[in-house]
Amino acid sequence: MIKARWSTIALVVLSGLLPPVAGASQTVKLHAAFSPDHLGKSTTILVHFEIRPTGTLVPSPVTDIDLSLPPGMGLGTTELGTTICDPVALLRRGPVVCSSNSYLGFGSATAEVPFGPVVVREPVSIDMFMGPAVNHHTAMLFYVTAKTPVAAQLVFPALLLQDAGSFESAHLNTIVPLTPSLPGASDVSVVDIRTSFGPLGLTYYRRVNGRKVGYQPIGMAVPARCPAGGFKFVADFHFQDGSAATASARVTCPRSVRHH
Amino acid sequence: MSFCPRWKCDLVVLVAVLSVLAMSAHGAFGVASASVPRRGTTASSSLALHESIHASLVSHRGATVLNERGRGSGTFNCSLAIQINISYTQARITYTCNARNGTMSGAGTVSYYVAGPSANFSGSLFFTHGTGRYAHVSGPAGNIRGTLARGNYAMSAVVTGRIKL
Repeated sequence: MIKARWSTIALVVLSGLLPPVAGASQTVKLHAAFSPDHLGKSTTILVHFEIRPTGTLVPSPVTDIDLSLPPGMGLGTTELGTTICDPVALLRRGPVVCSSNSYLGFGSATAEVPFGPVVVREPVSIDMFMGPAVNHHTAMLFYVTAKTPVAAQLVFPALLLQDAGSFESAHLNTIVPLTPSLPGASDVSVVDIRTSFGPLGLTYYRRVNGRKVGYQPIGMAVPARCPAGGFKFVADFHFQDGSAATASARVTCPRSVRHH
Repeated sequence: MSFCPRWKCDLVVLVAVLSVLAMSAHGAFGVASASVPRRGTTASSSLALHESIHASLVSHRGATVLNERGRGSGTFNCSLAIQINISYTQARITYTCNARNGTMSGAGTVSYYVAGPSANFSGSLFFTHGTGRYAHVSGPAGNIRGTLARGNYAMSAVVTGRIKL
């Protein structure tokens, strides 16, 4: 779901449009971390993607992100997302309609909007909520907003899907809607995404003896045993120009831990 | 004057007894849903299963393993000990059902997803072993469909199917 309009103040109409470059592709870097980083304990997953073009001024817009999660974390005792946020209401009225207990995390991104030969950078904010299940899959809702030069609001789901043949592994799959910029110009491209998934910065509320009490929810747990080489994340990207890129990152084992 | 010579009567009685035994072996006396065992074999029967399960969290190991205790009502009316090992999209369930005439134990892997205040699971269960009347239980143990309340991990489920005892 997308709402977009063009900011009249920021519009700069310049002659010419950048022609598409045959054979263009993108490179991606992935950074990941746990906060706090203690084996067997609740944590927040921090993920940072950097997307760089090769041969063009801006990278081709992302259409699909598939993030493989480390085996063994799971959804067992996490308290994240004990309330669902309705995606239609979220798009209409924004995060105010979602319960605090539906928040899963936050983030930000940087988008690049080509205006002729000039590239304008635009900050984007990201909020993540627990959404209704989709086809019997756990679903997270991304609420993405940008203001200028392209004002846009997007709501789209990320589904938690099983890795074939593996009990302990899964990947988070996100189909990213394209965001138009100017008529006839390229769609908006994202070059940097930072998100945190977990209790860091979140406050949930519950009733205790009739009073509303705030608390920090329990997140997913860092597995109790650290595999050799650390906890591995892998991200697969697909782009509007048909190209694809893969990046991986490892959260290293704590120094005091013996590898298993 | 005798009705039949003794040797003939004995022979008639012997033939009659053997006939009855032969007819019994072929189910002529209406033993439903069961096979009469031959010497050296074990009787087996199938049973329609419907068990409603309610269990509560007793303990957990780490963030992924829940130990629950509760009761099943329906076909077996048994006390239950259940362990659930939860991953991202699946869960492994192991269980022991203590019924009046014996116990049944088994396991299964189910699909698992979270939707706000509850987690939902469904899949197939299998028997691994049993005691007492259920000493020879084996094979499929029905399909399970249920929920876990994410606030207190209370479990509700229904198991249905046809099982072999």
